[in-house]
Amino acid sequence: MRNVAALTKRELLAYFLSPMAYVVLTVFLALSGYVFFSAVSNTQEATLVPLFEFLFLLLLLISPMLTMRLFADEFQSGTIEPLLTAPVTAAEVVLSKYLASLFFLLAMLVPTFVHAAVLFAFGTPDGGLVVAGYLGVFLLGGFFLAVGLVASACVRSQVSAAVISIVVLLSLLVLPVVVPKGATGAVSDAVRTLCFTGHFEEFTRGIVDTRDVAYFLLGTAFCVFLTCVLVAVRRWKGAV
Amino acid sequence: MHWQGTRDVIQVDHLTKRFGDIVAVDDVSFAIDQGEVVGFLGPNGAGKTTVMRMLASFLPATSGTVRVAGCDPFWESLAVREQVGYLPERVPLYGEMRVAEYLFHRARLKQVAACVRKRRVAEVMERCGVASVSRRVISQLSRGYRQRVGLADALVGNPPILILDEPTSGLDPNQVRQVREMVRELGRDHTVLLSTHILSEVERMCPRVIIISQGRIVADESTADVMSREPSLEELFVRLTRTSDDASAAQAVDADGEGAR
Repeated sequence: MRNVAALTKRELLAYFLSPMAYVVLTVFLALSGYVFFSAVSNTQEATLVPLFEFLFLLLLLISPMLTMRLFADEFQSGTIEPLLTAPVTAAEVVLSKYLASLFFLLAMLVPTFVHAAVLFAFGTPDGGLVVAGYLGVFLLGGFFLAVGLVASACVRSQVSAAVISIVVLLSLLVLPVVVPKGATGAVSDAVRTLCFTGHFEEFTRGIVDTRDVAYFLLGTAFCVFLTCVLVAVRRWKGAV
Repeated sequence: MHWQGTRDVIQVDHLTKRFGDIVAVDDVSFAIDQGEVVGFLGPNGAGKTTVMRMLASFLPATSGTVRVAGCDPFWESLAVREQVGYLPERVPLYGEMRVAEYLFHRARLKQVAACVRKRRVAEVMERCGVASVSRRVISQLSRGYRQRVGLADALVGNPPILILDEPTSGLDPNQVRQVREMVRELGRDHTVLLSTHILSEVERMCPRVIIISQGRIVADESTADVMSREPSLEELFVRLTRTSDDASAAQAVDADGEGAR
């Protein structure tokens, strides 16, 4: 794992050397600022919950844009060849790409702490709710990015990678809606357990349940592992 | 870090690579001694790049064995990659990075110690003639500069074995000459396997040539032997690697010529 720092640094550089990063950051901050402002001024309540619920959807749309480049671009331009003939393991490469996207997620979330600071300065929001909400948003974003990472390792085209991850995330979003509310039985239970909506809602209620934390962490770990396998398979099949 | 062992630094035995039904490399065997500079020749699509990719542990072999610096590129991939400086054919580089920045990153990946990294990068940039563009963004470089940045990348870890896939493509005659001098110099303490289409360069650069055609080795001998027997390396190359397609094309050209007369 000695190369992770060097590789992560390069991936971050790649993010911030492209205009995309600044466009995404600007749009993200402008929209979340507007939602925060309108929610607080309409309800007069010192709460960040509307913001968290909005970030849920915004991250779903933005994270594929952050991950589509990660592997698809290396396959397309052929830079995977010098990368994987340098003395670095595939796992190191996958992990550093994922870490870089996580850092970018942090770079988007940290400026929104200003909103929390405003609430604390002028009102008395529930501190536990704010912390739980941010934890939920971060875990959720990390999971979305991991799904996008898998999609990016599947194809050579960045657009296809983005489309695949959007489709997968939207299906996971829509599935529990399709299952009628109040329906019981193994299938509907399984669907609710497998999809992220319910798990995320717990955080916005201020509940940090081990099951929900485990759901996001395990889902993320599974996706990262799957990407390692995909990269190794593509490489040994000569399909990179 | 230099590997010590039997003299054969690269050993290839009955190497075969298939992509589906296509046999890209067919039962190829050769061995390269420590310190040898070998020209690897063949027409486009003959399997040169595939062989080099297998040596650089980028592709697995379908059958046969490969030993590079005493290690198997499949099972001991990292050990092989530490010993090999590889220049891929298309020279893929990260276009958004600056030249010095890129080489510095690559030096770090190749375990060049932090205290000598800066000096080492400056050294290879000087040697490959890219010092003047060290601050330029790679995507804005010309083909010749990109080629030499790739070459600098292959050299930056100071590996004992160099596998260079067409190091002179896209270079002007002056730059080709520079690369030739460099390879000759490198040959003193490195093992070099390089592929190229410029046969006159091979005559001057490589004491030994291996010619591959349609996945098979058709010649493996010293350049001096070839030169004493044949009028030029080109004669031998054309005779050995001419396919039925080439022959019919040549015939068509001849027929056209007669028709014009």
